[in-house]
Order: sequence, then C-alpha cells, then structure tokens
Amino acid sequence: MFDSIFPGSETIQVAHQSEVAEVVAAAYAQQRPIYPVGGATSLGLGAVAGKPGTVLRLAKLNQRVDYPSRDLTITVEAGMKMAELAKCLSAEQQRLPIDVASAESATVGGVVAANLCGPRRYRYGTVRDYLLGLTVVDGTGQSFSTGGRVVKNAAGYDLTRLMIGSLGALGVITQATLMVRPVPEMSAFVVVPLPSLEKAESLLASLRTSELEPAALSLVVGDRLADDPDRGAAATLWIGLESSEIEVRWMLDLASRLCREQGLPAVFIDAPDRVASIWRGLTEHAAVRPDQRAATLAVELTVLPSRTVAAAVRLHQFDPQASLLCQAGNGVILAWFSCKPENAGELVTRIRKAAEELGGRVVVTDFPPESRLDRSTIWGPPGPEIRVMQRIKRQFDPEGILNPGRFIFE
Amino acid sequence: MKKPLTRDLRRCLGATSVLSELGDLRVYDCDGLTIEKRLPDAVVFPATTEQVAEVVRICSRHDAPIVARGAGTSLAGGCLPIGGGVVVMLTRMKRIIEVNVADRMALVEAGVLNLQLARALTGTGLHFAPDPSSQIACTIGGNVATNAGGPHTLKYGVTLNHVLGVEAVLGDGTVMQLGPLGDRAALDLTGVLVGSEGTLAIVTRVWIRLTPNPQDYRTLRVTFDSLDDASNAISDVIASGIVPAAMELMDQGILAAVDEAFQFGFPADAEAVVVIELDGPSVGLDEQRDRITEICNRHQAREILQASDAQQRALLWKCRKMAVGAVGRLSPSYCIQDGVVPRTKLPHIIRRITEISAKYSIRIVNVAHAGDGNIHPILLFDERDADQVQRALAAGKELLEDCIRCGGSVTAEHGIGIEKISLMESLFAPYDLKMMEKVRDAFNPGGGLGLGKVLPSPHAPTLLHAAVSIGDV
Repeated sequence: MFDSIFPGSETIQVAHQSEVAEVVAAAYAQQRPIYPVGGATSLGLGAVAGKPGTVLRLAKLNQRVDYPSRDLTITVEAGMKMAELAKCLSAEQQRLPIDVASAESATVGGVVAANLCGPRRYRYGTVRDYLLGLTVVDGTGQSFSTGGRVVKNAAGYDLTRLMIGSLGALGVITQATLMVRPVPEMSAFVVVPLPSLEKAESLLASLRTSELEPAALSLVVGDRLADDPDRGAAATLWIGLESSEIEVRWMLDLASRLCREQGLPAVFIDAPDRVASIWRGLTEHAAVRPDQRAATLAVELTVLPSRTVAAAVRLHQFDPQASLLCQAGNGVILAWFSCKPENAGELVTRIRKAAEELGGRVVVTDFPPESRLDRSTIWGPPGPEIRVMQRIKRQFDPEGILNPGRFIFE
Repeated sequence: MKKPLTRDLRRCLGATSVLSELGDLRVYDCDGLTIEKRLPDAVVFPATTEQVAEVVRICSRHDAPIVARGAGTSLAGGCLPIGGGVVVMLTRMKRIIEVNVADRMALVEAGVLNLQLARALTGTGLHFAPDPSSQIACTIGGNVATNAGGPHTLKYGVTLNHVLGVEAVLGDGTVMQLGPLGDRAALDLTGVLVGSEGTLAIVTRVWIRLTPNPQDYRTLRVTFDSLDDASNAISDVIASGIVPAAMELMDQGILAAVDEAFQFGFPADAEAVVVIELDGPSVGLDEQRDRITEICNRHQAREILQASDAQQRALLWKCRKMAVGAVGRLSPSYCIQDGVVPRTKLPHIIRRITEISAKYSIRIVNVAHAGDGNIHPILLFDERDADQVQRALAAGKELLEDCIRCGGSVTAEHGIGIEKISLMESLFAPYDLKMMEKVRDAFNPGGGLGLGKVLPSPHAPTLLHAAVSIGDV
C-alpha cells in the first residue's frame, strides 16, 4: 500500500502505547528507520523515503483516555480518527474547531504531526492553539510527556509546540490532550461570486477592517465546490459565520451591506444541511484525489494576509487552469497544478521565486511520486535556524531513525 | 577576572551603558521575588540587537553567565543573577518598529512596555490581548519569557497565542529571525522560546498578533455570601458553553484591602465577588448576560450589578488589577502564588486553601483567574519572623502539591524561575525533564543564558532555608 512512498519497508500495526516504545527501541538498536503513519491522509507531504524500514501504523491506538467535558479538555490516544473525536465531543455539544480533510481516516496524532487545519483557522486558530500536552516516544524508544491537562501552564519548556508539525521526525506521538470549545448555536454562509479575482481585493480589505469576525474567509478559484451558486464566476468568496443566532443574523446583515457597497451580489445560506455541506466541501477541497496524484503538483503558499489576492493572481498567471483555495484571512493558499512528473521541479522553482518576490514561502504538499522531488525542492532553502533544529533532532533521535529523509532533516 | 569583563563591555557599549559599582548593582539583585538576592558583576543596557549579540559573545569569552531582564516584575525569581555575571537590560530597546493594521500584526522591541503598546494602538481598533496585572510596568519581552496571561486569557489565550515570531540571540551570539509567517518547513522554535524564561535565547524583537477590539462589553460584579457558591457558579458558567472574556474571583480578605484602597463599596460581609466580562457584538451580549445571571442566581448570588458605562467598567478592572498591590495594607510581607487546576476542581482547591491556611496559621487571601482554573492565593506573613516565613513557605508548597494532585500545574503564567524548580520533579517524570534539558542544550549549549533557572541542576540555588537573612530588611 505504501510502496511508492516507503519503498521496501515492512508494516507493523500497534494497538497499545507500550508497543510503540518496544518497536522504536528495537529499531533504535538495529538502526532501522521508523515511518510513523496515522490515517495515511497526508503521506504526500515530504520526500519519498530513501531507506527501507518499518512503517508503524498507529490507527488502532484509538482509545479515549479521559474526557472531563466540564473542563473542556479531552485526552485520547494518537490513532483516534478525527471523525471519532468529533462524534465523541458532539455528544456534549463540544468540538475541536480544526477542520481536517478525510476526517474519517485522519488521526489526531497525524493532525498534530502534520499540523493540519482548514477554513476555520481564521477565527479559531490551529493545533498550536488547542494542544495542551502529548505523550511521545523518542528516537531511542523512551516515552516522555509534555505539557499537561490544564488550559494554562507555564511550567518548563513547551515541548508540545515543538512536536506540532515535526512530521514524526522528533518522536512518535502516542497520546494527546486537547482543549475543546462549545459548538456555536448557529452557522451560516455569505457566498460572493466574483467577476474577477482582482475584485476580491477591495472586498477582503473592507471585510478585514470591519466589525465582522468571520469563522472563515475562503476564496476558491478554478475547481468549484458542489454548493457553488454561480460556477460561471471567476472566483467565489465563502464567508463563514458562526456564533449565537442573534449574532450570526447581525453578521449576515453586515456582510451583505459590505458586499453591496462593493457592488457585489451576495447569496445567504443558513439551512443547516447546506451549511454543513459547504463546511465539508471547503475542508475536503484541500485533499488531492488519489487518482490524480500521478499528475498533480500541490503547494501551500504563505504570504501576509493582505497579499493573498496578489499571490493568487500570480499563481493564476502561471497556469489559468490551476485550482486555488485561499484562506484569505490568513494569507495561506493551497494550489494544485496539473503537471507532468518531469516538469514538477521546475514549476516549484518558479512558484517559489514568485512567492519570495511577495515576501512569502512555498512548501510542496503533494507531487507526482515519479518526479522524486528532493527535500530542498519540497521544503525550500532553510534559514540559519536550521542549526538549532538539527541539534534538537540529534538530541531526540540520535541514530536518525525517525522518518529519515522525509522532513527537513536528513 | 571581573575587570577585563567590564572593560570589554564598556569598550563595546560605551561607559554609560555599563554599571559595575556596588551601589548600582544592588538595584538589580532581585526581581518581584524579593526574598532572594544575588549580586551581578555588571549590568548592561544595549540599544540594538547587534549590541546584545556582542555582549553575549563577550560574556561567552569570559565564561560569565547572562540574565536577560525587562522590567523585573517576575514573581518567580526569573531575573536573579545566579553566579553573578551580567544582567542584560532590554529596557532601552523600546521601539515599536511597525504596526500593520491590515494584517493585524506589530513588530516591537523586547523592552516595549505592555501598556506603551496598548497606548500606541489607540485608534487602530486593535490590541495586544495578554493583559497581566503588571501591565503598566512589564515589557513585551518579559511577557514572552513567562508566557504571560492576565484576566482576558479566558477568551483570548495567553502570550503564546499572540506571538507570530521573534528575533532572538543565541548563547553563541548568533541572531535568529523566526516568523512572522507560519512555516511548515521548520520546527516551531518560536513556540518553544515563548515561556522559556530567557534560558534558551535572548528575545530582542517580537512579532505580535493583534486582536480586534470588541464592539461592546457587559461587565458584571456578582456578590456571593459563600466562597463555595461563587466557585461552583464559575465552574457551571464554563460548563454551560459560554466563553466570557474574563471571569475573576476575589475573596473577602482581598476585597477588604481593595475597598480600603479604592473605597469601591464592596459589601464587607460577603465571602466573594466575581467579576464577569462578556464582549463581542452588542446584539448578542444581553442574551449571554441573562444566562449567566440565571446560573449565578441558581448558586445563591446575593447581588448582580452591571457596570453602567466605560468609567464604571474601568474602575472595576482597576480594583481587580490593583488588588495584589492593596495587600500591602494587610501585611508587612506577602507572597503571591500561581497555581492551576482543571476548571471543575476550582471549588475543591479553594476549600483546600482555607484548610491549609488554618493548618499553618498563615492568613491567605485569594484572587483568581477563576475561569481558567488559575488561582493566585496570597500568603500573608511577617518577613522578620523566621517561623512565620517557614510556615508560609510550607503552606505554599502544600498548596501547589495539591494542584498537581488535582491534575494541574505549579504555574500558569508566572513561570518556574528559581522559586519552583524543586516542584518540577513532582510535576514531571525524570525523562520528561531530561528531554527539556536536551532542548536547552540544543539552544544554549554552554548553559550561560539563565544559569540555574527552570530545570533542576547543580546551579539551581538552594532557596529560603532557615538561615535566610531576612533580619536586615
């Protein structure tokens, strides 16, 4: 199943946290690579593994450890699926407001390790803002805990933050404690079809400086959502609103007035089924379909929020067929290009140059496996702080067995 | 040995930016934890990042430990110059370099005061959310060092949630630029530096996330006859799904002190007052207020008053923020503790505080960021009475051990400093601490930054033993 990414590796499935430590300790003794895998939804992130080793499947490590719902925290094993977590929380009218594509496969540990998030990040933030503590097995097979189970904690170094986005290269996450939030009373969308991409610029500027605090500001170009009311438009802006009903109604009014001032039509959607379908659509939009992987290059481009549209225009110039999902409030653009494997490297270089001209950065999030993009093409050139990161890597994984060659480290 | 060090520092910074006379050094021998004092060999006032880097290189050459310091409001001894060495004052680095309203961010130097930034942002519709009670004095660099909080963290989060990046000088003088853009191709070193109390690097600039000002507020003052009812009401509000901007508890003892200072008219016989603030769009606030009122009434609230205008709201917050200072009226000495428990354990821990107070015959008054489960019991004693000092320290320790037993932590926002090092081994397993040591070694291989702080080590000072020299105060 994983041969295109981990050629020649065997697979081991674990069901208890203690087994993770045993497997890693054995691998440490043999200096054999360990490739931790949760729901296998983000394997496109990172270079193809250079050395055969053991793919460590964590999806069976899926127990709920503790859910004191009145404290608004939950502790679960790392292999728990995001959909299972959501189900568990919804029984208490709570949720983790981090949207992740393929939630029925994606695991909590994988979401932390790959630092995944979706459209709601504008209002609610990312994993960084919700993760309270972790249990982790380091590269020698020893287990350690970080943080705690309380919502404020200033004791010692914040190794929890260090693990977020570390892509399994510092340790294998076995358990996580998260802060959760009450489910808002109401959720609705204002949808704005745009005659041109540039037209988004002034609308976004006026939204950002208004009293409106949307949950999401997603600009979709190219491939459209199934719920899009006007697929003929050049682009569509989805303004997601969440709060008490009275506040959402007020925000709907305000958003529509701001659109009118820009001479733009706005469509309201407040039917719960449709609203849920849009949230799903905006979240799933980020996933590259397996049947398209062989010919798709996906990148994540980050700029200052006010430069989002300028960056989107540049990407559109490279390839008018490209699909873009812009988290316009955050300056994050996910872009997909149809691309032959042999052209992928050159396309990344051009995109990265354009991003740098706008003061931004680019990371490749998926690519045709055949193109065998190397680490520096995928992650971009490192800054001087890489020295500190490499020292941390050596401290946590002295034999270099954790996900070698996939992330920024060798 | 010391002479060449100060000579090199003067050559680098100029004579007026280096202090080395005994009388001058005494000013820097402690921070808000006044009970412990150590003299540095020199105090320097760099004005630029390059100067900080040069000072670090000089200290490294001379094997002199370094303590980075802002306003010195730390309550945990984070600024204590253990083993002498050089105190690097960042207070001359107080420029607000950039305020970017469109992107809701600002770049400031580490020595900018929290309040200075708040004033500079007037009219932009934005603010920096962390608002510790020391905000008139404390610096942004210090906020980053301790991952500072304040009342409004309940809704808005702590300093970590508002820092997008930093510029920092490592122990070998290397300057790192981190952020402000999120970077998938990197570890979150900024996240690790926040709360590291100056022991990993010296933060010289901070990229701050700015938060839009709320459109409106409802600020309630809820009076309870019983402390138990108050803490149960707080726990119920959290569980009900409402997220107030702030929910602050003050008990009878602290209310008496505050009233003496500000004549606010708190009822003298009530056991507790809870300040609850709601913020956001006006349209939604009355509904939330009514739900909170209902919960408080269910817990036998005696009286619920709403601040009628901005002036009344400001006065109520002034009372809360000056509360600790007002304690000086109650006692010659006091120690403010910082503990945190899961929010549902608040009623339990508040009851335990009363028991511990009786057990050690030490008066304890309470303020708390109660919505977060963050307690600040203030232990009152007379520093001149060695027996009282010992009892106060023992009471504080028992209290924090109780927080750990409840599943909490020994500090929510003040930091470990030197004060709580001995509790780290109760809070974390040996290998957890070992991993923290590894991170420190990766950032600060020589160990010269913040020597003897945060983690148990041979350099960590033995504190507050019976021989503590309080007699000369």
